[in-house]
Amino acid sequence: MKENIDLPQGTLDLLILRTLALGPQHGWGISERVQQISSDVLRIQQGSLYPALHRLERRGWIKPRWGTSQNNRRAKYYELTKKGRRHLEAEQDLWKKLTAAVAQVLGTA
Amino acid sequence: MLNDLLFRLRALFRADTVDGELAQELRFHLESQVLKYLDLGLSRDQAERRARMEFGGLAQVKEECRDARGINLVETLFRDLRYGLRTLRQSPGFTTVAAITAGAGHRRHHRDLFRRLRFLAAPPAVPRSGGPPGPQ
Repeated sequence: MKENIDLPQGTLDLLILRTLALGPQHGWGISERVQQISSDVLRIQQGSLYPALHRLERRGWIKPRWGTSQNNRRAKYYELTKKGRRHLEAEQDLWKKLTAAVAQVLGTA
Repeated sequence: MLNDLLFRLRALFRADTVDGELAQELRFHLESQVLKYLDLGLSRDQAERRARMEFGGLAQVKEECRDARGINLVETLFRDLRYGLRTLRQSPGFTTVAAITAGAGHRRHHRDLFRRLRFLAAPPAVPRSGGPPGPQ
């Protein structure tokens, strides 16, 4: 059993947007994909996932569309908007700079 | 900005539809999780219990989504106003007394206000001995 790490503040939005950059997905699909890609280390709680999706939609970074899931159920899919993609690129750059700087500081200690 | 406004307006004026969609969305999540556990070999009972436990409080998630939509405050105000109007309609006696009291209060307040305004607007009672120097 791997250790689960709580998501640092602000990273949830980034993970959702990055996952949606791969293609439209519903809420459950997003949490499953993040869990798989992070080799089970990152788990998104529903309690934070759905409010985050509604917040991102309100900002115009993602937009919903009702569709049919693999198991033939009506599901709400989200897709990245152009504005969302631009925001993701900017945030990704910031995140890379931040982690590189933190790693540098930790490395010198 | 426009997107934000349209999003909030829809959430506010089509609250029932938006709430219904959210309930459907959360139900889909729960069902998908149950199916995943069934695939892993759990019994339906175990799968449902585990999925529900992981999901946490449904009501709390809904409430947080409402907060995320940024309409909770306005929505609460609307609900309070509707409740207030309904109460007034249901108890005409109380409404009449309240209206008369409020009316009397307003009348008195306006009478005082007008009196003060008249006092302020009135010319000074004692004429000045010399006027201000005018243009020659």
